Order: sequence, then structure tokens, then C-alpha cells
Amino acid sequence: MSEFGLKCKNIKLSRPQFNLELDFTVNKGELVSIIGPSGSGKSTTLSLVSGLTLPDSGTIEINGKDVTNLAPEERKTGYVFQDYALFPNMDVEQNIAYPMRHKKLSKEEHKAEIRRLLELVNLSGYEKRNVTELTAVERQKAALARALASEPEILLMDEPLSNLDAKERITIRTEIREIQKKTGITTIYVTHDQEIALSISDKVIILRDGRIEQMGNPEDIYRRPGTEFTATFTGECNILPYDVILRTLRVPETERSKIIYQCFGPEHKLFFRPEDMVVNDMPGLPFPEFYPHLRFENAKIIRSEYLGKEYLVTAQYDEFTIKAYTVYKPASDFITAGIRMTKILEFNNGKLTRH
Amino acid sequence: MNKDRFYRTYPIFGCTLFLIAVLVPLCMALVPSVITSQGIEIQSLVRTFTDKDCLMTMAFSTLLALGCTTVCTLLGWFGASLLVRYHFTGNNLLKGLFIFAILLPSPVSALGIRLLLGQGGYLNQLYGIPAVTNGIALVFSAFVIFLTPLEILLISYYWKRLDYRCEQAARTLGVSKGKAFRTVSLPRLRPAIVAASSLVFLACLTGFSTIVMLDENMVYSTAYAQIFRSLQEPSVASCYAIFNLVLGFAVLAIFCTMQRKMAKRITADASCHREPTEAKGFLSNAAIVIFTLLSLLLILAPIICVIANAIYNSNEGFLLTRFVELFNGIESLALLPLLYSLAIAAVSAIIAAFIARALSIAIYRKPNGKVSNGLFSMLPLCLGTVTFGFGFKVLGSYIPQIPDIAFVTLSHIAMLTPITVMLVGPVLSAIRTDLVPASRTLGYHAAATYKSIEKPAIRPAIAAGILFGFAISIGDIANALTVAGNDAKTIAVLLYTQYAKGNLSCASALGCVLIILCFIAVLVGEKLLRRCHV
Repeated sequence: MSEFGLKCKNIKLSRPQFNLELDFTVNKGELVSIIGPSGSGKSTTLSLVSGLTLPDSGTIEINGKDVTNLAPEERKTGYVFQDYALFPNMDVEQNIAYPMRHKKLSKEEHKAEIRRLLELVNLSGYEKRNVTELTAVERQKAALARALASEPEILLMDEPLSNLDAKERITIRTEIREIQKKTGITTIYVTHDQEIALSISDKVIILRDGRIEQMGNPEDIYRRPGTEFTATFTGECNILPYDVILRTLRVPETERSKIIYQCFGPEHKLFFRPEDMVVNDMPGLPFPEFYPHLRFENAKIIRSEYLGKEYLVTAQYDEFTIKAYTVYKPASDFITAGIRMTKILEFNNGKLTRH
Repeated sequence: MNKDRFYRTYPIFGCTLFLIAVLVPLCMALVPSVITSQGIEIQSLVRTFTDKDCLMTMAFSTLLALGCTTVCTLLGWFGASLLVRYHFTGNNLLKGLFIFAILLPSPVSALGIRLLLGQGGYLNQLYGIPAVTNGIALVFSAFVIFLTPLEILLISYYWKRLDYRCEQAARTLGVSKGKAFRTVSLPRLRPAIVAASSLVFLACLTGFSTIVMLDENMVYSTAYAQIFRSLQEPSVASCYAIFNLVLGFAVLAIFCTMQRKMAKRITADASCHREPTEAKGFLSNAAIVIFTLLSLLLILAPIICVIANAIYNSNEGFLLTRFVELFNGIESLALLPLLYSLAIAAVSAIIAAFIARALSIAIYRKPNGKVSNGLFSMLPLCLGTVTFGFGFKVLGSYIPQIPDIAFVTLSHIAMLTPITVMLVGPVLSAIRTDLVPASRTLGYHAAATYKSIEKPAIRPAIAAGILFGFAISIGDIANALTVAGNDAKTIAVLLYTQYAKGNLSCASALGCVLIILCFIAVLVGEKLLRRCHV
């Protein structure tokens, strides 16, 4: 038996002003998120996997079976649409029972299966409710139960949390992950929210202009982005030109030229995350010495944004703009911030060259 | 893809049937203008189109339609603005009354106008108001009273569905209420006004009963009525049909273009639709009162006149025996025509609904089918039943074996189809685009998806289409008269012949029967339309 839940091999799709090229595999039982900016091809990818769109070339395999030329109804995919696509002429029970009509179940088994699915998505007691009367969360759950009712070999979710508020999103994303783990269904989850993608996925695929920019586990994607695009797309970051190193490097004088020579070239850019910076906002206090590091002394604060659990401070150091997180609101208009050399990655022509 | 294949193949049978029902009579109606017993010749065509009387008739038809359309547009605009802006007691009743007015058989409305305003009419008898003896004024009144509701309903339908937040955004940017409407809403609404006016223009251009029943003392009649009156000279009738087709098709093209434009501008999101509010201020309240009273008075008065004339006679008082006489026994005057009419109306409305479903799919689901199929499905609106009747009459002269009733039914099918398409199409296009893919991914092929998702959604609209079509068909005289002459056995033709004989009481009694049938159809159809799940 194949270990792959999904295999998209050399998939190509041409549309006016848009070309999609995909080549990736998803292991059985994994939850893989696809993120990328609008128009990068996220939903089209789901459309290709579900069979709603046919590729110009390439093959799609689900659980080792070539489904490239199969109609959507023959592929055994469960699809949760962005606006849920619940059938308004049916109640919740009828919606969930819809894909079960092909199964030869007795009336009792039928009812029991619907009850089980509703329990799974925490929607018990909603059987006879009209779908137009449901809240966004309830619709989302009903849509998920309906998708699961078809016993799919692969579950496709197209931005299912986009209509929910921030608190609901956090609750539901956890529920989705738990349900996915319980059922063990290979799942492709499309979102534009990198926080959701990083938090619930086994793997993340970054799409850009119809091509896979990077694929990997969430930590790798965040900590070791393969490209400058991935680095900026997955969260706040500092990308500074090579010049900054000559002015801010703190290292014993004897090792200075050696480190500069070993590490970087003038064509490179430096990358580091704001949360890796050490910040001192009290002018009188000595800065902790840890070698080697870059130190931005007396950078002028441009703005500090309160994010709830921390502040995102943006400061100007010479012509460079740097970002750092602080737990408390900076006490003065100036900060001194430092970053260890080991936390810095370098990009050359937008690609990661060393880490 | 399978989905496309299904939507490509499903409408073929219905569309072919429609094609036959439309193109065959159309060709037969146009052929006599250039083909005579001597072969192909265009002298007759040239002669007709250069004849002064013919030209005046064509000019008169156009001007009459233009005049009525202008008045209907102004009144319709006023009515629609009140219906959309304000919530007031009885506005739902008014909407129902408007649908009733649109579907009311035109022989009944013409009879009502004659009884209300004409020589010896109720206004003249009861209040001494001078009777309107000018045919043009009577025709004009009938068109305006019974077509303004169409304008009101069409404009308000689209107006309500425009995203009202745009106007609010303009207000927050410092623009006055009036200017926000003029600069933001009106430009977006313009296609709806043009579309509604085009439809009214077409209705005026192809109005038959109103003309033939009220055009006394008119120097010129309309080109459409002249097709009927020139049946003995097929080449002349054919030239009039060409004129009607060309002018009607141009207006129809405008209607379809504007309708498509408007469909893009309205929003499906109900939360962005304008919700009517309570009227505040003297002016708006006064406008509502005037609008409501005028609507009730103008639409109901002719209908009441017909009913009153049927059941009350100044010499004999109240009497219902006339109805008994008309429908008592198989030898009675009206029973057989009623049964004939019911059968023709039921059959043609059901078949038209079946074809309309296929056409709607061809328009709204088939790839690249919107423009050509949309225009094609609306073609009968610019032709009118007389043209169909004329075409089938010509065809009947070649194939006398086919009974007239078959031709009448076929013409009705062609005429009713676009009306049902107008009801079903918007419902089908409003079905959310993700429902079909959702069903496909849940294991249903395209045909099963259509059966379980789309068909239940359009079913109430189809049923409403059948009922409305029934109401229109049962009141038609144009087609039956053209195909079978005064011998046609339908209840509407019987009404017309009794009217022509001057037997207004009998015509009124028959009118009452048509009013009751139309009322039931509207009542049920309107309820069904509200049940459309989209």
C-alpha cells in the first residue's frame, strides 16, 4: 500500500494571466496547510485535487490510485467550501445524509451515523434545524460533518474559518485538528492566515504565483525560511542590507575581520525575527554582552504597537528600520537592541544561502 | 468535463422544440412578403413600405408605444421609489395587485376601460363626467394603467437589490441625500429603468386586444393590429410583421443588454439589500397615500366595472342568472369555449414551463450561452401572438390536416416560454455557485446534482410560471382570432365577439370568469414565488 495520501506529480494548469505548477506529496493521515497571497493558486489546487478543475498535464494520486481523469464524484474527496455550501433546501440532517444515500444503511444505522457525526463536530441536537438559521460556527461544523459523512479518503478545506471571529477561529481550529487526528483523514487546509497554518499543520506549503515556494514542517518554515518571500509572508521579520554588519558587529577586535569574512558577502541580506532580539529600553542600564552579535545602539523608536501580550517596537537606526518585541511599553524614546549572529540567516537574490 | 456535457445536452430537446415553435411560424409569416404565387418578388414589399398609409401606421405604432412608455416610466419610477424606500400598510397587497394587473387578460382590461370611461360608461352615467370618445385616449389609458405596474415591479426588484451601502458611503463623504442618489444610485439603476421601459415598449407594440377593442375613431391603427386586419392580403400582413420584428428586435436587444448589465450590478447578499423604512414627514406620507389610492382606483375601477356590469343591470337589478345561462349544459354558449380554453392554457403553460427550464439552463449554466440563448429565448416577446398566429395560418394553408387548436397551442407555448424563463432564470442564476461543486465532491454526478439541488430550488418558480402562463394563455384572443377567426372556440374570443356585437353584459360575465381564474393563478403563483430557496 502507498504511504502517500496525496501525490501531485508535475501538475500544470494554464489560465489567462495565471499558470499553476505543482509537484508535492502528502503522507497518509497528515494535515497539510497551503498558504499564500491572493491569486497564488491555493483554491485552484483544491479544485484540481477534487476534480472540479482538470489539469493540463501531470497526475494526481489519492492513496496510490490515479484519479487524474476521474470525475469529482468518483474521487472520494470531502470538500469544505469557504462559504460552506450547505444546501438551503435541506435541514442539517438532510445535508449530512446527502452523501450517505449511496450507502446501503438501514434507517437506524443511518440515524446513528448522523448522530455520530454531529457528536464528532459538537453539533448534537441540530438535526432538524434549517441551515439558514445556523450561526457561522454551526454552519462550519455542519459543513465539516457533511464532508466527513462521505467517508472521504482526503479532506479538502478552503479557508473554512474566514467567516468566523478571532475567538471562534482559535476554538474551531483546535477542534478541526482534534477531529482530523481522531479520524486520521489526510487533510489539505487552505488558508491565508499563517498563524492558523503554523499552529495546526504537520506540513506547510507556501504558494506564490502558482508555484511552490517552500514546503516543510511549520517550525522549519518559520525559523529557516528558504526564501525572502517565505520569511516575510510567515511573520514579522527584519531584512537588512549587508552594510549593517560593518557598523553594528560586536565581537573581540581580533576576531572581527575573520567573522565578517566567514559569514557574509556584500551582495547578501541579513534576516532575523523580531522575537530573537534582546531589547534594552533604559539608557542607563548596561547591555548584556554575548559575542558575537549585532548591536543597534540608541535606535529611535518610530512606533510601538500594543498586541495584547507584547509590544511590537519599530525603531530607526541610521537608515535602517528594525523591529523587536518587548514585554512592556518602552520607557524612553530610544532602545538598544541586539541579535546573536547564530540567529541570523543570510539571503542571496532572495534565496537562503546559509543558516 | 462531465458537468459541461450535462448542461450542454440537457437543454437540447427543449431548445429544439422552442426553435420549431418560434422559427417555423416566423419564417411562414415573413415569406409572403417576398414570395407570391408568381415566385420571388419584392414589389409588394417596396409598395407597402412606400405607401403613405402604411408608413403613417408604422409611425403611429412607434409614437403610441413611445408615448405610453414615457408615461409608464415616469409613473413607474415614482411608484418604485416609494415601494423601495418606505414600508407602509398594504404595500404587499399593492405588489400582489400589480402582478394581477399585469396578468389580467387584456380583453378584460380593455372592456373595463370601455365600461369605465367610454360612451355610456359608469363615470359618464353616474357622475356625468364626459365620456372619452377618442380611441387613442382609451388605448393610452389602458396601456398606462395596466403596464405601469410592470415598470414599477421591475424597477423596484432591481433597486432593492442594489448595494445600499454605496449611497450611505456617499452620504458619509459629505454629499446630500438627493445628490448621493443622483450620483451613486441612479447611474447604477439606469439599466433597470431602460430594461423595464423596453419591456413596456414591447408590450405596447404588440398590444392587440386593447387596440382592436378600443380603437374606434382612430385614423390610424397600429402595425400589429394591421397584421390581423390584412390577413386577406398576406404580403401586406407580412410587411407589417417585418416592421414589428425589426423594431421589436432592436428594443429586445436593448432589454437583454440592460438586463445583463443589471444582473452584474445587483448583489446576492441579502444583508446589503435596501430595507424599506417607515415614512417620516408630511411629503412622503402624502406621496404614499396618493400612490396607494391611485393604484387601487385605477387598477380596480375597470375590474369593478366589469363585475358590476355582469351582475347588475339598471332595468333588472342584481342578477346572476346570466352566468347560469352561459354555462348551463353542453349546449350553452360558454361551457365548451371555457373547457377548450382551460385545456389549451393548461397544456401550453405546462409545455412552456418544460421548455423554459431547458432554456434557463442553456442561458445560465451552459458555457458561453448567456448572450445568444438569452436573446433567443426572449424572441417571442418582440414577435407577439398575432405574428405567430399569422405564421401558423400560412402554414395551415399548406397543411390543412393539422387542426387550428394545435397551432393555437403551439403559439401559446412560444409566447409563454419567455415569461417563464424570466421567472426561472433569476432563481437559477441566484443559486450559489459553490452548491453544485459541493454536491459533486459528495459523490453525485452532474445529472443527480441537478435533480437534488437545482431542480428543487427552481420548482416553485416553474410552478408559478405555469400558473402565470395559464392566466396569460386563457385571456389571449390575438392568436386564436388570427388562426381560426371568429369561429375560434375560446372563452376570450367569445368575450370579444360578444363585445363586438355590443352585448356588453354577456362580455362582462365572461370577463368575470377570466378575472376569477386570473386571480386564483396570481394568488397561488405569488405565494409559490416567495418559496424559492436560493
